[in-house]
Amino acid sequence: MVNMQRRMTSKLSLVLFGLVLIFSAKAQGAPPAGGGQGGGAPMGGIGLPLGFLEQNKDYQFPDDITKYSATDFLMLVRRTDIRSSFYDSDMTATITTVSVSPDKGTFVRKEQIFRRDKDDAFLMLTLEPESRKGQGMLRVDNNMWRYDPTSRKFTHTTLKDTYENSTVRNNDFRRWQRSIDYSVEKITTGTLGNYTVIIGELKANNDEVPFPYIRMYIEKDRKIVLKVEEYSLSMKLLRTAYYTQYVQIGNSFVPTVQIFQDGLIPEKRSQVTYTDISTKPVPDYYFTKEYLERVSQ
Amino acid sequence: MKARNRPVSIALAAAALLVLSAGGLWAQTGTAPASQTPPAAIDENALFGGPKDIVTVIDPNVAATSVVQLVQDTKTYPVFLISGTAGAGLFGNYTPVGAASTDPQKLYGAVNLSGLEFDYLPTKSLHFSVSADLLAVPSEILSASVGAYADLRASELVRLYAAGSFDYDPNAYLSTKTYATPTFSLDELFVDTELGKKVFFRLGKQRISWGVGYWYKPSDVLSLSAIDPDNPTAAREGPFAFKIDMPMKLNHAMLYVVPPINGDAGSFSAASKYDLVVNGWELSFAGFGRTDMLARPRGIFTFTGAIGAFDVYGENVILYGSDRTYVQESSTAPGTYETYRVENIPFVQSTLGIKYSLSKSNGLSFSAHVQGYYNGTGYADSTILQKSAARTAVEHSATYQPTDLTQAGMWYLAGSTSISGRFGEGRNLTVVTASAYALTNFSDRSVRFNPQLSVQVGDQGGRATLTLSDLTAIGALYSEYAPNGNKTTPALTLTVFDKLSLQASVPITLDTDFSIKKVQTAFSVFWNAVSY
Repeated sequence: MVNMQRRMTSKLSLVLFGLVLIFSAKAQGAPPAGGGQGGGAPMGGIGLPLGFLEQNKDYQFPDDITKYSATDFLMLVRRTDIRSSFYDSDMTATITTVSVSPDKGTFVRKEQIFRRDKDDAFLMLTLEPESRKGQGMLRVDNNMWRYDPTSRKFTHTTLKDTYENSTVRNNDFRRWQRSIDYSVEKITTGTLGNYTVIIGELKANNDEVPFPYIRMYIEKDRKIVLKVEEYSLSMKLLRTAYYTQYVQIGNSFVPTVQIFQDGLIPEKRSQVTYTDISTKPVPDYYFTKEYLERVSQ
Repeated sequence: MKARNRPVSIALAAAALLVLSAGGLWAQTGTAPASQTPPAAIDENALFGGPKDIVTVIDPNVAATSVVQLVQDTKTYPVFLISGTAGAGLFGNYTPVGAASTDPQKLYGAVNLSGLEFDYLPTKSLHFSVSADLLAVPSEILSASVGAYADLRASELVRLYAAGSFDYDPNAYLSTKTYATPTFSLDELFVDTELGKKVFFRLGKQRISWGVGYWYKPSDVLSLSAIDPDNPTAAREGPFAFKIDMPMKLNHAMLYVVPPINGDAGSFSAASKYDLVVNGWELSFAGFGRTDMLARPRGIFTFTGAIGAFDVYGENVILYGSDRTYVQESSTAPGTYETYRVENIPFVQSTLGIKYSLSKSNGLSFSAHVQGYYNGTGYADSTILQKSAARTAVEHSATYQPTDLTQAGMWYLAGSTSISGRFGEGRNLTVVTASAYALTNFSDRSVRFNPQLSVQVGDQGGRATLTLSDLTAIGALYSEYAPNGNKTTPALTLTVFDKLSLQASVPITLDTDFSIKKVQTAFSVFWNAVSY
């Protein structure tokens, strides 16, 4: 009887695994095939409104920055959104974040990121501190997985959830999409150092974003974001972001030095610095849970 | 333990002193290059008024074929890092009510190591790490928790990994679990390899975490230890297994084979699972079988995703027969107990969880999480396991497994909630958080809950953090969530400038009528003089 049960269990296991393989071969999830080659045109299913890219491509902005309308400014923001992404290639970089706190001292964190914007895919691996090395996060479209190497546990979550019990939402890891999330309230002009900027005050049109109001300072010639002030519902300044250095690769602009000044604690600020940038194609298997597990501790 | 530990204590103290005085170690924080450190004060003219253009143009062909290093930041090896805190102060116990001769009534000078971690990386692909928490008085180690691992990579995806731990915590000073005697364990020992970056293998003793539940995970059939109700995310022991993974984009197939564990060459287990990602939902289909049928064959379906503003997850398991060895009072000899198994009817286990979180820009945040669990293999009334004779009968059964005495109920509910507010600004920024979690087993009427209030002053509580909590268990002796009977433990923790740490807890044992049976106290004051 026991031997018969053993044989049955063995056969059942083989049948189950066979079924799994057949099912696997038939059902394929995002991202779509073709990523292995890198490049290519943006594909469907990446969460962008219809015509988001095309409408902006040939948009004629006023030559006189004092003539900007709300529509012009929103298209300008859309231009910065589009230019912050790499729709024609993958992108990898190493990011160092140095946080200075009056009470907690200086904390350094280093991460490696892999982006495939045309599929809205993003992988982040912690490199330092060594005590958190191997923790990681994979996001593709609306799916997000966090991996804890200690318990070997993946957690599938949604973009609405908060990241590691912080005030950062998973949604913040998406590519910039301010032109989708905000509408323009007011436009002025000014200067920031050597640069003439168009200043727009924007109001969130949904409650998914962490800041209901923002004020953006966009450089007029190359149309890159230099500064963003982020406000609460009561217009309390919560954070100011400065994008002080960029690299331009083709049509894309990467803010490689970002300085964040806390609005509530004047002595608290952080700097994000990019290095080791590349647009070489990233293998498909990088954007899988398996890769995240294997490269972790 | 006490006499034997004296040389160990001296050796540990000497090692600690050596470490603390070692100048060659680097703390993990504060080692950023100046070019990557934010300016001491923000000057917009300095940020945007320099002679150099803020945009650097990189040839797309160069970026597409190489890695462009923008700042000089090359890590040199070997690397030796240290993090954590070390302090010294006073530690004491006092039992004002119901003291027994074994209860300590002492005040000690004590040393406390908290989260102390050493990392040594001789090369980029080799990593050795040791972490330790320790509470020691001059004459003995009161509690210790040491973990170590070695991550030795031959290439990015091929490696040998080993991890082990030592725990000794008879009074649960460091953890929510009690380790009455020193306990060594080999947590993981495996090799990773792959074939053509298409099929991945993990071979050896490994942790496995199946399922999407938080407090209850009926689909996690391969883990060997139970979920800690007070720390559900803690790592759990896994089996020696051969694991084969085949990622297919976001979808994923895997097979586990657990070789014989009892010397019987024909005895093994197999489990396979397929994860399917569809429209923001992850669906998993799995099957499990074991040749000796001690664990019954089963099919598993789990899901996780979102409905509106709510994150939702669930696990459903159908088994042919129950794994459990049951016990009942003998009909022929009242007062004695006999065991039995149920192997020829299907059982169902099902759990559903819902999470919600809300975060406002004014600092108000709220979260709630609830999970219910129907365990078809449990007892409708599991109070029978509160009888010593019944438990003994199960433990002496030929088919006994430790899981026979855990999660023995049929109906469970668990939940947690948290609300947090932010007040003030600058150095007086204050965050107040009220939270609680609770678990109940309706089948033995035991409850466990822990309300908590936390006040943090300064950035991330850097100036002061006060936490009040009261872990309370209500139920009969040997019940699931109150194994020691009715007990409540009010506790207070105060940390000032991350240096001065004060803790006090008052475990109160209550009789069945909730009158006070025994009151103990444990308190400590430490100056965490060294932090890395």
